[in-house]
Amino acid sequence: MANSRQYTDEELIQRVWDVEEIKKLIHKRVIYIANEMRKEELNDLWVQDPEHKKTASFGRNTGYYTGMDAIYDYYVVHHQNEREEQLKKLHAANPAIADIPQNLHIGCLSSHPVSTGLVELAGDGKTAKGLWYAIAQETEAQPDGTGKALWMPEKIAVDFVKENDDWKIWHIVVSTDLVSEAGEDYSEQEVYHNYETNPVDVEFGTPTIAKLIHNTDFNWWDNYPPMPEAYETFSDAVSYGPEGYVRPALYGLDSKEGRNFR
Amino acid sequence: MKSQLSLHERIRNANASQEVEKVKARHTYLHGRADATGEWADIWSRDPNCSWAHIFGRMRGFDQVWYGSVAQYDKMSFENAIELMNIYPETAGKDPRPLMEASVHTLVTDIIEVAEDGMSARGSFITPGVIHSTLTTDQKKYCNVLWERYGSDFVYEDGKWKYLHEQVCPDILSRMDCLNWAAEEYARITAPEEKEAPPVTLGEAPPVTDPGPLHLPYSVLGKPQNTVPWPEPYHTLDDENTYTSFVKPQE
Amino acid sequence: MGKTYSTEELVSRWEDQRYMKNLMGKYANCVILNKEHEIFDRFWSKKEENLCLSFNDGAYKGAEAIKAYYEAEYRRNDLVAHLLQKRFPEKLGSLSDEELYGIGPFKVKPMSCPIIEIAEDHQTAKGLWYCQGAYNKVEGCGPVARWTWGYFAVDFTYEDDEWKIFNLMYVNDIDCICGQSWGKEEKPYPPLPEFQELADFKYPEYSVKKTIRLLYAPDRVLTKAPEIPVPYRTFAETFSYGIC
Repeated sequence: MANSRQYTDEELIQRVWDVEEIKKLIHKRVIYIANEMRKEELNDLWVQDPEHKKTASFGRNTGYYTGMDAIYDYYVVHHQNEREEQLKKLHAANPAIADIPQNLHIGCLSSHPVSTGLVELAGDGKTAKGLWYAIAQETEAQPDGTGKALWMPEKIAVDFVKENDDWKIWHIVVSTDLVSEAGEDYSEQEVYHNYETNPVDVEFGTPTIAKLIHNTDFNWWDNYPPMPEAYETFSDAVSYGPEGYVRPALYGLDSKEGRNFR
Repeated sequence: MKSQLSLHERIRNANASQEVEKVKARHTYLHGRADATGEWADIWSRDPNCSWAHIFGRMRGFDQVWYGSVAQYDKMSFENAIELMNIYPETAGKDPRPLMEASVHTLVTDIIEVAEDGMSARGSFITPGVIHSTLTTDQKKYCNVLWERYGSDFVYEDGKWKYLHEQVCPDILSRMDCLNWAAEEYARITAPEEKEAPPVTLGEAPPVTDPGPLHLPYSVLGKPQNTVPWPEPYHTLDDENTYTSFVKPQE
Repeated sequence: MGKTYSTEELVSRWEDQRYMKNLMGKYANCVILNKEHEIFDRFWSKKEENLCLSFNDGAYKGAEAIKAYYEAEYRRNDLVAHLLQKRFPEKLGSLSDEELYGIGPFKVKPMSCPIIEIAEDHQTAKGLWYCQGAYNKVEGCGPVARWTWGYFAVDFTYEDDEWKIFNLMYVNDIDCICGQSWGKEEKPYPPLPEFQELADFKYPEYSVKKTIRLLYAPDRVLTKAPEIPVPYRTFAETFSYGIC
């Protein structure tokens, strides 16, 4: 339901500041990601209230991790393990790169700067929804001494909740549109999305709720995650968590289907 | 920076500044799905002075803008879909518009001024964008890199902020990530037979009132254009403070 | 959480941060239009003594050094335009110096992800922006486009009822030829004789020559972004984006 309230001047300027603080929060997340501060990000920028932690979620095109424990395992622990493995390989290929904690993330660069922020603050001021676009990149050092640099434009959709006067991330969906290696011709890739080899899907693993929530073969046809609309109060129906996901009506056929008559 | 406005007016304008950012962002996300109806039906003014401009010219009046930006744009997507369905039958039955391409014009470097009278706002933006599509009629996915600048005027009507004028200024067009837009431009102009620069818009130009070119994209032999100068603080939207003059040019 | 602000203070502080976002947007627009020579007068403090403009490999300190840098950008832009005029006399030969200036370079340094904190005492502010850029300065190989990924980190001072810059750090992680990977060795374009004069062009010496930030390399250790501004009472109680 759209927000049709009238606000006093005091309420309105507070709402204006709330929106600015929400945008600032997401901008800070950009820096935390660049700094490889994932654990700190979950601690500083995400929900801390136990009930909100239980219902927190991190979604990508192939599903959602739900609950802060699962998010932590994926976002922090799994990532750390991957980077430790990577460092071992780098060290094996080049012993000058010591396998020591100070070298974790050596040759890695994660840049997810956001733009095009669209934030809707609930009429009741307790939650907010936002959508951003990031022309992102991720680069990882390889044993052959190069860095594998990948462009990954993506939508970032976030639900926020106010806890003790601070805004916190509650649900997030990072929906990658495409992955393209720097210096390579994107058009030479196989046309259909390959879930076995796409680095974003491989990295995401098997989430708590595994389901295809955005099919990039159809561009933005399935409209997920959608733009936030004005709303009065938070409910599952408007959530960017799994409870709010709605498959497009009249989906029709999926990728590669519809050829059996030939 | 001291304002002559009352506290109430300043708060109203602070809110207005955020509201026009939202209108602009909604344009991006609607355009990303080629949802021209959603955009022009919902976030545009029907004021007879509304206009939309690109390199090829300026459409004036809501009907001309609707024809060029909705009817003609939808037509392109339908024509694309007719061919696409033969190659990729799974696309049949789906809204053909987003299947054409995802044209994502991001918004950064916003410079926004709200009029002192609170009835309009103006913004300039840089838009480093990506335009991509997966299932295409030549069976190759593509991603183009298109950097543009915007000059936008907004008006407050019936309790909502809406677009009044938009001027789109493409600067750089390239491909992800195998081309060099400057080196190739130089190669083009120093080739034995100079070829024309590639177009920066999809399809044919729609009918316009003010003919183009209204902006020149980047060229090694040209100056960067200041087609949409940043807005300065202003009292009210008028011919001194607008991205589109309110008068048609002489015929 | 710090000071609680009145309604009047809240709206003033909102206007301040909008002003600073607009200021940095105008900075970026001056760079696009090859008007770097206007930047100092428009946007920098005239009253602060310890001004600092820093890049990946050094810093200019003080008004004279910083002005000299922006003036050098003007001279380089001008040199490029004249070299192009020499190369294309049929197209540019008839242009005056004024008509010629600005032809050639195209540098887009957009500002995104602003994080702005205004001091409680309202005398200073700090802002951090992400800058994902694309530029062609024209080099010895001629026009060549580059991607940049980096940060603008700025300290502002409130003087004469306006916000002005007194420290500006512009550092990059990536400065890579478009169409190549920043993870691999750069393959430069071959030099062209018509642009050889650019090899002799020198920017002013840094006041402080030091490595402030290394560009990305596959063996670069994790290099954190410039510090995020946090709420603060007065400038003496927070960190500076200036370089010592």
